[in-house]
Amino acid sequence: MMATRPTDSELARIMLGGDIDAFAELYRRRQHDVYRFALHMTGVPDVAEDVTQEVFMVFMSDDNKFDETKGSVNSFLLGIARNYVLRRLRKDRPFVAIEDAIGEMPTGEIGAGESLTRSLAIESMRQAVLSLPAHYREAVVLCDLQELSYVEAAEVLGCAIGTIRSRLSRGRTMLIAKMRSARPEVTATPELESTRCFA
Amino acid sequence: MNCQKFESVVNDIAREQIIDAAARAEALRHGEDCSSCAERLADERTVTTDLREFAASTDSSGAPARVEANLLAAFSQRSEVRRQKSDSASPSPVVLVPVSQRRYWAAAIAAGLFLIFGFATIVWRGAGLERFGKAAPGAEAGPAFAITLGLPDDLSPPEIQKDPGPTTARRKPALKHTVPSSTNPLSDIAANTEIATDFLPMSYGSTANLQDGGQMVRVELPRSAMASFGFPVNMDRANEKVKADVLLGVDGLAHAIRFVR
Repeated sequence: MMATRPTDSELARIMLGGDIDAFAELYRRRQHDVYRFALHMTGVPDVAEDVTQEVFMVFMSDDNKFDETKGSVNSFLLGIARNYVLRRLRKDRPFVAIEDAIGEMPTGEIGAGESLTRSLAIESMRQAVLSLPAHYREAVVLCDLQELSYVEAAEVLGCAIGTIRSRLSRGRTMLIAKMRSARPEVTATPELESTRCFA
Repeated sequence: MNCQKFESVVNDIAREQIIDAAARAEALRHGEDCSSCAERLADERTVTTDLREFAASTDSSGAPARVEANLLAAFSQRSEVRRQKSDSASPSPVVLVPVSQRRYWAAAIAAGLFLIFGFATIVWRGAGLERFGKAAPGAEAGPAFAITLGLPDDLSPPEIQKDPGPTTARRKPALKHTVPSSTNPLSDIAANTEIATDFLPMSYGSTANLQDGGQMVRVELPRSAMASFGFPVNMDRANEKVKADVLLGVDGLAHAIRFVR
C-alpha cells in the first residue's frame, strides 16, 4: 500500500512544530516556484537567490502568519516573495539596467541544440517581460510563466480576479507591441553584420 | 459576437484556458470574418508560444544548494533556541490571558486603586477636620490655625541655636526643637500667664496648608527680629533674646509667628 504524500499545509504544520525534515521537504517542493518568480521579476539570479532565502526564513520564523484557510502554501510563499521583489526593485531601480540583468542570466539554460532564432526570441521575450511595469509583469509572470490560475494569482497579489485578468490582458498587449518592435531588430542584425564585413 | 466581446475572450483562447464552448466557437467564427481580430488572435498565440518557451528555458532553474544548506542550518538553530526556551521556562503552565480579558482586569485594578485612593483621601481629610473641630472651641484671639497645635506642658523653651537669625527660625531645621504636644495646651497657656502677640503671618506660604495640620515651635530670637514685623524695638537691647512661637506647616515652612513675653 502506498503512503499518501503529505500536503503542503500538513508539512507546514509539522514544520512549525520543529521538524526539520518537513521543512526540507517543503523547501524542495516550493523553492523552484519562488526562485523562478523572483528571477522572472528581477532578471538577476543573485537577487532571486536572496529573495528565496528571505522567503523561507520568514516562513520558518515565529512571525509566520500562514493561514491555510486563506490560501495555499505556494500562494503564501509567492506573496512574501512578491513583497521582497518589489522592495528590491524599488531599492535597486536606479542601479540595475536591463542589459546588465540579461548579462547575468544563465546562458546554459537555453539548450545548446536550439536554433539561434529561438534563442533570440527567448531573449527578446525576456527583455520584453522585464521592461513591463511591475504590476503588469507580476500578472504575466504568475499566470503565463508560472501557470497559476486566476484565483491563485489573485491570492498572491491580494487583489480581485478581475484585476488579474485585466492586468494580464494589458500586459500581454504590451508584450505584443514590444515583440513587434523587436522583430525588425532581429532581422536587421545580420544586415548590420554584413555591412560591417564590407566595411 | 462583436470585436469588443472577442477582445474579452481572446486572451483565454490564446492561452487555451477553459471557457464556455459556445463562446469559444463564436469567437473563432468572428475571427474568420474579422481580419483585425484574426490578427489579434495570431499575435496572442505567438506571445503565448514565446512565453512558454521562455518559461521552459527556466524550468530547471532553482536556488543553489547553499541556500538550502543555509536555511537548514538556520532552522536547526531556531529549533534549538526554542527548545532551550521551553526548558528554561517555569514548570507551572503559563496561562495566556486573552487581550480582552487583560483589558478587563486592568480596568478593574485601576478602578480599585481609584476607590482606595479616594477613600483614603476622605478619611485623611476627615481626620484633619475633626482635629480642627475639637480644638476650635478653646481658641484664643489669634488665628484659627494656632489652636490646632500643641504646646509643651511646661512651656519650657526648647534649646535653640546659639545665633539664630530671623531667617534661621523660619527654616526647616527649627523642627529639631519641637516638643511633644500637650493634650490641652490652652489650659496650660492660661495657667502660665504668658502674654503673647497675635499670630503674624509670614510673607510667604499659604494659610490653606495649615488646614492639614502643623506644629508650633518655641524659639528665641534676637529682639531686633521684632522690628521686621513692625514692633518698636529699643536698639539698646537689640541683642537680647525674645521668645517666639513659630507655626510650621506640614510643608516644613514657617507660616506665622507670635512673640511671647
